[in-house]
Amino acid sequence: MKLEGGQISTSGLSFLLICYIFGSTIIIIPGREAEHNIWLAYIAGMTEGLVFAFIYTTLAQRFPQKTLIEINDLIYGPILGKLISLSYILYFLQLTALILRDFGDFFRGVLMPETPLVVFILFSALLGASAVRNGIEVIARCSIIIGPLAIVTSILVTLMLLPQMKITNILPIGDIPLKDFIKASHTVASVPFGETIAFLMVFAFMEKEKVKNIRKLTLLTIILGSIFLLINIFQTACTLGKIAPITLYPTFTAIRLINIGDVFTRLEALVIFAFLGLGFLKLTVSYYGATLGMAQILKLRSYLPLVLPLGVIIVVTSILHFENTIENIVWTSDIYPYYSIPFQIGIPLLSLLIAMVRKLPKQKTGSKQQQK
Amino acid sequence: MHRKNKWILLTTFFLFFTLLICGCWSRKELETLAFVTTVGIDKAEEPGKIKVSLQMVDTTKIRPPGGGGGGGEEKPVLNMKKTGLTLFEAIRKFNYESTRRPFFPHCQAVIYGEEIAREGVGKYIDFIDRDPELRRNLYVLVAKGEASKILEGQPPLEYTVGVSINRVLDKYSTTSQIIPIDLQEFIERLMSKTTAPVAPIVLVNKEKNISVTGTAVFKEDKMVGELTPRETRGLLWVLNKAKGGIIAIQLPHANENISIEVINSQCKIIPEIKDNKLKVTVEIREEGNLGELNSPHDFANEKGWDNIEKLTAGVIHGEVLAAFKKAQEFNADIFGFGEAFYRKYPAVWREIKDDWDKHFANLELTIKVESTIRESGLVFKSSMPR
Repeated sequence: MKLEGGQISTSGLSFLLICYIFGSTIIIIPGREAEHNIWLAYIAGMTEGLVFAFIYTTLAQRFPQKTLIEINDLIYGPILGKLISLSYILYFLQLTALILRDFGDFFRGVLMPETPLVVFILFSALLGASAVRNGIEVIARCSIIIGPLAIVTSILVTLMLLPQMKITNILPIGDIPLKDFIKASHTVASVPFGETIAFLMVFAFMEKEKVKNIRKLTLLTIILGSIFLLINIFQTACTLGKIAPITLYPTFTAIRLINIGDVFTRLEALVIFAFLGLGFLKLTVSYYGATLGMAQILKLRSYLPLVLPLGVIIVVTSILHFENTIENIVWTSDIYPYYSIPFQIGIPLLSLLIAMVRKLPKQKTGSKQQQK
Repeated sequence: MHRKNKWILLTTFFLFFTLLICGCWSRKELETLAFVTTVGIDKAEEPGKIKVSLQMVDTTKIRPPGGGGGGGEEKPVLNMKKTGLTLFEAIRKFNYESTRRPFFPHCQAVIYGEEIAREGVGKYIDFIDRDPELRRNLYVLVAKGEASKILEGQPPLEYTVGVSINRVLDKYSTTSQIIPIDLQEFIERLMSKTTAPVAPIVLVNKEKNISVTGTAVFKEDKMVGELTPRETRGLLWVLNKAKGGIIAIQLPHANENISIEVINSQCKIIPEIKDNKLKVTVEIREEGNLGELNSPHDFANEKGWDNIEKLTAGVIHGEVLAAFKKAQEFNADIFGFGEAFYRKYPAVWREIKDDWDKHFANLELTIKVESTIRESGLVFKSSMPR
């Protein structure tokens, strides 16, 4: 039985990963405790994220063409494995809800204050649901188009902000207490980079011959995506200077300052398009992970009937999760980095260790086949 | 039949969705908006309250300037004043009288009245910072007297006071004796623990025209004094913003003078800590052209030219020194020297930052100016008779 017939190409996976990392960080830049050293925090966070990625891509390569749910079954046995998988499903659902909430908060707070939050969340979720119903191959292909567009937009915007950037805003380098720096880097590592754990549901659909390239591909792509992200961070820190830590949406605020020859002004629309495209891809991937995973746990023949019900759960969670925008920001920077540790690094590390100790997966001849 | 039904259903579905795309909920119709170009904030008669004046433009009445000669045309601008405890409250009160909702994205300037500037602008700047409608590149100014009087000025060549201020400040480098401060820079200076905010001063002159002269110096958020135009240029030399202007030099002989047109200038701020004393060296390099030579002497030789350059450098030196002395008098670090020390000596900074006031008062400033005069126009000797 095949839940998902599509296959992803290497470029699809790369762009999907880049869009995922760029995702909501292009709007809400986590790690603002680092103030003007935020770019250093990003480099440190990226390194930590690479460690996470190393762990779960090794896991993915060990169990070729198996999703996270199937891997858990093999490592922890049928009962414990399903329990762990269920908690991952809940994590992915929450992740999707958080991304939708970021969408809604941004549009509502900045552009259309009178519109109720539910309108933005509902329609974004509907769009995501339609994408999930089409399958991962379609989603990956979307990212091949949206990804380059967003990257080009981001670089264009940085070029246009050059007259307003002051390198002195970055100096002095490294003047920050170690505790703050570690907290900021870990926040950065967990929000964009650690969340790529959702890709463990996606790696299973790469073409069979490319499986041994997964780890190298993922690590290189993360580095590449981080470079674009760093350009964005540099631009924001140099342009806004002291104001960057107190703004809610630094990239948006910085872009409002673009004024080239009095002709290129009011270009906020650019960053909004980029955010729309990238956010959509990020939410689709985690939505897909949750739906597929649930279908695999329940051993269904197709995941399609689950898409809309899970969508309803996601929309409601999104609205009920926080009462206001500030709660969102504070939760993401103070609680989420620690809450996500088991999902992003704890359990994958444990799985990898157990797999190595028990020498899983057992070879075909005379082995336990738990896969259904 | 089944396919036809499907198409009808899909078409209806999509048509329904196009209705939702236009963002109806937060729609803003053009005729219901009053475009605010300038905001003026003053102290109200009641203690603790402020009086906000808005200059709004009625877009349906705009006609090309100077086109309709005379003939009692209605001015397309409307000035209104309202009082409130907070800025946001006062702004919403305009809706009691104005038929249109004040709409801020085109606001060009925010003017604080002198009285309220001296009391402190801290309480009246958060709204401008926080609200998404107000943009960060609007200019912040201080009015001589009341801000509402500035809004009643009638600039002859422009429609509104806001546009007039905007255009005057955009051309600041023609004289380099006014400093254009936008909201972004004002707030950065406000947030900095050492750098003092500054803002240009605006007034209405006898011909009812709007004039921007001089600079207001703040300590934290309270205005403590003014810089004359000459001192303002001194400040601009150090901030690397003096990219134009005329330096008029009086020669030793009576009735003789020179004008130098500044083309460009660069400034390097070099902080130093020597023997536990804080020193700052300011290195300015200026490039200019000879604009006017009202002297029969012949300056078209090496010695004469060097002389002119030395004189120019001397004037610049004087301007920067005058600005620095004024700044020390107000004990306000308008130049950003504190930040320069922070960037270079972060470890030492942690100890001295709380006493920056004391250190600034004892700061030793060394000014080095190098002036180069390049072109001299179409003539090289003056036609003045001996």
